[in-house]
Formats: sequence, structure tokens, C-alpha cells
Amino acid sequence: MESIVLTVALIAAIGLGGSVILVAASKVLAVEEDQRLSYVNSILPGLNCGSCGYPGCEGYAKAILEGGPVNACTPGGSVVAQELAEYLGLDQAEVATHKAVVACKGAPDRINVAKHYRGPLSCRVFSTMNYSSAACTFGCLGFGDCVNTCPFGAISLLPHHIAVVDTARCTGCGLCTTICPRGLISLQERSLTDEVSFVLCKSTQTGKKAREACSNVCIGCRKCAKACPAECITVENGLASIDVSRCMGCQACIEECPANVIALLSLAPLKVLSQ
Amino acid sequence: MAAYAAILFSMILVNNFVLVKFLGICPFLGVSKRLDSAAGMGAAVTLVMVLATAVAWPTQQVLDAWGLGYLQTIAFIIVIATLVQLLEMVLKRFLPPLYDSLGVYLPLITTNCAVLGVAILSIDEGYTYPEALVAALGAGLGFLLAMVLFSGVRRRVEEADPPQVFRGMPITLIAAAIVALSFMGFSGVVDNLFGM
Repeated sequence: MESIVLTVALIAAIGLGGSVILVAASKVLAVEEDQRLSYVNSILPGLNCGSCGYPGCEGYAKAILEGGPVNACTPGGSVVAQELAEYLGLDQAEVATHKAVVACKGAPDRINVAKHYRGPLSCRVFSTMNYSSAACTFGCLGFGDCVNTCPFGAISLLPHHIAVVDTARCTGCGLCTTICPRGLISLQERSLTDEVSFVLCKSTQTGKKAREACSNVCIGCRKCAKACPAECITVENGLASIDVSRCMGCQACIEECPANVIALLSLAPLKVLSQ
Repeated sequence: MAAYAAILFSMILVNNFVLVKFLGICPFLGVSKRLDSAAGMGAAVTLVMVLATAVAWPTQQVLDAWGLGYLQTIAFIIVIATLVQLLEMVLKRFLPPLYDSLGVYLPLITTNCAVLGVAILSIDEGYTYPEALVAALGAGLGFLLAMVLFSGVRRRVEEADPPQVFRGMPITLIAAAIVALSFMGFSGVVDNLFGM
């Protein structure tokens, strides 16, 4: 009996002693922290994803208090940016809106990539194993690796096996951009207008061969470059590319394109932050 | 002096806590992906090991005096957990740069079996107080060495292209086993070196 009491008493004494020391230490050694830090930290989503470029949400919170940008948090989006701006008394901050876009329009009559392919239905397998076909070697493979990657269900496959991003659901997380073995998916940042023109083709092939592989192919004819009033279209290696940051959304190039390969891309921010 | 050196090097090489005694495997696998975090974790563990032994050894004397030596494990856990918390506060207050580099790892170490292991093993070995401290330092440096070595191995493993079934943790564990095998080669070296 005595040993039980002694044992319990001793362990309890050690525990009590330890806790007294810790409580005393936390009072004595308390570090003056910026009161705002914990509040700013509580506004942030707490995902510690690092997409803002700072080490974790706490690192970003510190950077904000030292005058960093309040709109760098991609997962938090405009809601978080507004709350931060309100709390710190800053002007309402615009969050840079990013949207993913698949730079391939394809055509219903193009040569089917997978017609004679019997392997696993994955773009990456197809690409890594060096399968090839007579189809366009730049275009979308259409097995839908990006569709499976998108956590928001924003990517779908068109009937002619071309992936397309639903910009109304795209959050701009960028997960799909690394998955595409052909590097077709990129993030575009909204700058001047909600709607910009975008070349839905990556093919540097020109002439007859390109037209045979796909009817919606950029052949580098420069008609769009001449039509653009903002002079934001450059043609290189037989492929037009539009500087989205300067595009005013006038759609002149879309009307002009003989291959029908320039399309309007909606970069409007998401209206509601999905919970 | 030779006796201390023998303890130090045998703890680093022959009785390496991670690779020979297989203690503290979870930080060894979890934090060894990058060299800087591996080194940070190793340094933090070294610091905590020495301090924990410094506190645990007298605690054991108290327990023994009361005839309660069997309470060693639970008493050490409480003492070490308190110590790590206290250390975290002290670092935060007085050495913010060190806290920034080690702070993340300190809570992880609270329940690290290698820290508890070094406190218990140095008592099992019957070390005197200074010997126990040297042994703890050696164990910590051995842990640091294993972490740094393995973070290098890890880099090669990440770049390699093993068969699908081995990808990720399996190939990492195999790599760890091979590194551990190589450390087996040290057995006996230190004993002969210092003529023990």
C-alpha cells in the first residue's frame, strides 16, 4: 500500500513540479508578439501550401505585417485578400486571377491518336513509352490525365478527345499544368479584361502536313498579328502566340484567323469561393 | 580522456542510434528529404539529448534513492517533455535565430524514442555523470551524421527510377537498410583504436 502511495505521489510531484516550472516560464519568458499576427494568421486558410512564396501561412502573415502583398494567397482567393485588406486598412486588393487553359483545339475530323493504341489509357504512359501515331504530335492526347488530376472537376473531355477547362470552375491551382506530357496546359493571369483571345494550338508544323493532321491548326500565316490593334501577337516557328497581359479582348484576331484556332478565353474571377 | 573519446566515437559509429540500434527511425525517414532540414533536426536532437541526459541522470539517482528505479521510463518521459517545452520557450525568448532554425523540430523531439533511449541506455551502461553526457553528445552527433548521410542517399533514391512496386517508401527503406549494413562494418573498430 505504502509503495503505491509513494509511487503515485512521486510521479504526481514530478508532473506538478514540471507544470509549475512551465507555467512560471511561460509567464517569465513570454515573447511580445505582434497582436495582429495571430489574427492575420487566423484569416489565412492555414494550408501551408507555400503558393504565396513564403514559408507557410505564418511566414506569409509575418510578411503581410511587414508590408507584403495581401493578395498572394491563391487558395484563399479574393475573400481572404479582401478580409486582410479590410483588417489592415488597405485599399481593396485585387487578387491575381489565374485560369488554366489547354492550348489545343483539335478538330472532330483529326486523326485519332489512340485508334490503334491498346495500352493503358493514360497520356503519360502513351508519351513515356514513345508511342506515336500519324496524328498531330503537339496536340492533346485525350486520355484525360488532367481530368483525373483536377480536384475541382473543372476539366472535361470533348467528344473528339480534347481536354477543355471550364473556366467557371477553375481555381487556378495549377495542378494540371505539370501533369500534361505535352505541356499544353498553362496558367494565364487576368490583366486588362475578363475575356482575352488565346491561340488554342501548340503545333509548329506548317503547310500541308499540319493541315492533314488537324484542320484547326495554326500555320503561322500572321493574319492575326496584322489585325491586332494592340500589337500583342507574335508569330514564331509558324505558331502565333498572344501576350495575354496586353490583350484588350477586341476579338479582331478571332475573326481574322483562317484556321479558326483563336478562341475567347474567360479569365473572370470565381464569383463564389467554394467551401 | 581516452575513455571519453572511446565512448564518444563508439556512440557515433559503432552504436549509432539510428543505423545500429534502430532508435528514432521516424524522424530519420520523415525529415531526411532535404539536407538543411535533416541537419536542423540532427542538431536539435543533439542539443535535446545532452540536456535530457543532464536532467535524467540525476532523476534516476533520486528514483534509486527511494527504491523506485522501475519508474524510470514514465519519470523520464515527463521530465524530458517538460524540458523540451522549457527549451522551446527559452530559445524563443533569448535566441530567436536558433529558434527559427530549430523551433519546428523541437515539438517533434518531445516524444522521440532516441532521446528517451539515450537517457535510459546511459543509465543501463552504468555511466558516471560526465560519461553519460559524453555518451549523449556522441549519440546526438551519430544521429546528425546518419541524418546528413541519408539525406544524400535520399536524393539519389528520389532521382532513381525503380520498378513501380518499390517507388516511394519501399525503396527508401531498402536504402536505409543498406546504409545501416555499412555501419555494421564499424563494429570493433573503436574498441581496438582506443585499446579497450
